Amino acid sequence: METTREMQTTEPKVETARERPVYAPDTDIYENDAAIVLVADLPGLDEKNVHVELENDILTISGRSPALEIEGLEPVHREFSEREYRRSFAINADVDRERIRANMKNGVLKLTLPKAAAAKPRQIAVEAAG
Amino acid sequence: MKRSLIPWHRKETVAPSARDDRNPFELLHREMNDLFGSFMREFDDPFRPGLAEPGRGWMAPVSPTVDVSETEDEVQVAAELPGLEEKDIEVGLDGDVLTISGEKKAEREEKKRNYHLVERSYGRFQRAIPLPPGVDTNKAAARFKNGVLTVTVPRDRKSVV
Repeated sequence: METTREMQTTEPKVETARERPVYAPDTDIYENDAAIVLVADLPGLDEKNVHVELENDILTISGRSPALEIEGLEPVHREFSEREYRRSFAINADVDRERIRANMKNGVLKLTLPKAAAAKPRQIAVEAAG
Repeated sequence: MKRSLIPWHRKETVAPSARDDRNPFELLHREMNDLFGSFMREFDDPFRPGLAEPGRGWMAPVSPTVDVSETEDEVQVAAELPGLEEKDIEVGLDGDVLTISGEKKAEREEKKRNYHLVERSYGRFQRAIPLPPGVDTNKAAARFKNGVLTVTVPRDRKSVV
């Protein structure tokens, strides 16, 4: 039986045919008794331009930073704008897929992946032999 | 492979006793390091996040990435600061140098945590961005949205020839 609850990071899919470079967002993943939590930095993005998809145990985060707003703005020095973000993670059977929640605040995506009941730690009462 | 883990700009990590001038390969290696080191010290890209600054190491503040753009009317500096609140960010002007600094505190919602992956950075950050001449720093304006700080500095009309 598979006991590990760690999520494996899969290689970010690099799509060379696109006009924008594709970046894997910096991500923290931690676990507590109730859930696995994934926190990803997506500066400049809000809930409208971030997509989270779950397909065949692969959770994919993607999004693109919005285009610069001001007309006639000439880039002088560019380190981050006009990026495309994409990163995939493999999740295992311990995650309750129906209850995954996602929220976006200050350019940070927080995904809460609750553990399925079977995967939560629990106490087993020890009884005296009869 | 071990060698690649040593940051190349930290020359002091090479112990003096390890240097052997009689060994031509070691000498060449050293010369190349010195050459590259002096090149980087003179590297004058003002936006380079302090590669040549002394004391830069893993304990040094993190430099946020920035974009600088301009129009006929203004200069705009945008910095990536995901996960911060407006109150955690300090924007200052020292002459014609814009400084962005602050601290990102680690979230402490619960004690019992088991980390599997840690890539996001915490702690103090700072960055100094030199502004071009002919901007009116008194009229600088800053706004923070979706983890991106945007500072707009209008051009000084009087200085336009």
